[in-house]
Amino acid sequence: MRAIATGSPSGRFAAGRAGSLLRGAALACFVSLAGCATAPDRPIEGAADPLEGVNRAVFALNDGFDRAVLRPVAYAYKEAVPGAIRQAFGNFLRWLRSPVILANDLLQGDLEQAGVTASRFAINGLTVGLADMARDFGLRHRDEDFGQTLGVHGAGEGFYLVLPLLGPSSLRDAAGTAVDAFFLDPLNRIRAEEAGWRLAAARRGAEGVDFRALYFEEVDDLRASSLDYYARVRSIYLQQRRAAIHNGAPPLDESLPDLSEEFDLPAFGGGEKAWAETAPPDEGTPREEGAAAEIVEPEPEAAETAAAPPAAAPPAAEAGEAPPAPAEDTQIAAAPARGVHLASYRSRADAMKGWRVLSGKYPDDLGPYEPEAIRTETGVGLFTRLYTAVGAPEPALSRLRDRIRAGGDYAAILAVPADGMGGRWR
Amino acid sequence: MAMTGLLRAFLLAVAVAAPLCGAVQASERGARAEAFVAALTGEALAVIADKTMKPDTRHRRFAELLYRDFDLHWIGRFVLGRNWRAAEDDQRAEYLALFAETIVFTYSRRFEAYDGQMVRVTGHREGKRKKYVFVFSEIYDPEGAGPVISLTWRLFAEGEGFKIADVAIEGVSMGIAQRNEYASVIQRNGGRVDALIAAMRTNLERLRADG
Repeated sequence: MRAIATGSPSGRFAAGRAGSLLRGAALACFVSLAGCATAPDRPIEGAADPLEGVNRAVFALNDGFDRAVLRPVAYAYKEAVPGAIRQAFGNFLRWLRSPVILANDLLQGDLEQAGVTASRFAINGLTVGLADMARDFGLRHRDEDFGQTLGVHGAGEGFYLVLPLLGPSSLRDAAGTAVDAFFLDPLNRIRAEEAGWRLAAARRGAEGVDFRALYFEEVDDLRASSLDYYARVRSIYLQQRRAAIHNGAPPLDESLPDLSEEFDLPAFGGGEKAWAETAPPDEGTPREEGAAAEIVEPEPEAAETAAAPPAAAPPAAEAGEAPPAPAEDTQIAAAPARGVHLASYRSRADAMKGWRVLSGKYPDDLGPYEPEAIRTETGVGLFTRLYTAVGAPEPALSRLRDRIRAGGDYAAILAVPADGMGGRWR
Repeated sequence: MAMTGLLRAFLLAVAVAAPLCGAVQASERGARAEAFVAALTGEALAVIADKTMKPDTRHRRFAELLYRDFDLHWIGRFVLGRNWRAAEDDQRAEYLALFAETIVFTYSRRFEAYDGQMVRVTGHREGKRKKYVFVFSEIYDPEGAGPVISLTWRLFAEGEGFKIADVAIEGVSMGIAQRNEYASVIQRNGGRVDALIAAMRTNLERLRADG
């Protein structure tokens, strides 16, 4: 990631003794903020982007800069300079990063990789970094920066940030970039006043051109084929950082979550009809959905409940106290399956939202079971009842009902009609 | 006593064999998954690398591979995310059709830039719930010069074979990236799926026009 490039008067000021104090304070600020950013990364849900308005504006500026300056320069570079020389120059730039990479390897406690970095520095140093001979020894380049170091030590990204010229970043990674530039990179410590900063800026600019030339078509393609280029880049950047923190091998079941948790899709093979009828369940945490789920009436079932049921379960939903349910369930034909009635809703969609809330609240109790939404004509109208554990043995039903009641929510064991109006949703 | 000893030995053998059976099955599935990915990437590269093929033919062959080995309906629904539930049936149908075509056009754009890269499969891993198999592979330059790019495939079993649910390049999931993007488009347009469909149509036309 390109570092701060300031050729401004503040840069000169910073170079002085008072400047080191300033930098120390800035560092303390950044690092403490980044340390607070321990929100778990949520690639599936989308990024935390509270500054989206500002970010989009800066992103647009950067994109303008890319079209006007960076892309043409990269194109000229690509066309005019032979591939071998560009490769050598890229190797050189990567070699220059070795001290920063080594420092971060050590700060992450990765002694093995530190050894690799040190060896690469030494071996490739024989050609001043122009030839990547270390690669032939199986020592591959792996970039590290302080943002990754913070990530390894548990700091979440905080929130997404787009930096002017430097591009996509995050609260944590911007702090990391600053630390790398001001503290960890010996090349930036060349105290030749302005020349030191100019050199750093030139180096970062060169890295930008090198990158742009290397991924010339890919960036163009991404821009052309995106519906929302900003959102696409944001997702890619944040995912890529997570992968980098895990050194390219993110624990697949976490960073790329095992989708079966959210998507318990039945097996395919039913053709068009099958996928039309089986929709993937909602994502998003149950608690977030709670506010939207309307519980119309947790029906007190006179035959089953001794005491009146408590009010509706999800915190933000309203509960209507419905009149006692008519005894229509007991009129159904002999020996229907029995299940636990959790609540009633106006629609199937609401029922599923309610299921999400409840199964989030009772993951162990409700986890093994599937929801069933059955349209039922009750004495007070047509509702969608949410059942679960239909057909389970009686002890299991009783246990489930008791557990949910103990949690303060309504539950009752009812006979489940075999053909509810409108069919069953599974 | 001898009978009990024999019985005990038999039970022990069964107890040990049972988990082993599972393990053997899993690694056999893993090997098949690796073979599946290797076959697909081999076929795809053959299509991409064939400069003698007419662009139309190449595009069509590539689309066939995509439809055959990727579960585009599943991926489309995953990408649409929570908005799938809000969508009407005809919206869903149109979305899936547009989605599939977008995928084909997006990836077939890159054919011209093909420069002799190859793909090799390097391993696999079972998913946590045994529902998915992850296959690891790399794009590399046989000349040895360019960067090595890791590709991770997420497969689920379908009948005797597999379907691809997702591809991650260097740890970046294409499915997740597109999902975040589409969610953003819908959210910025007042939660309307129609707005996404319109944007997809416009985008597809542009992709088609670019050839």
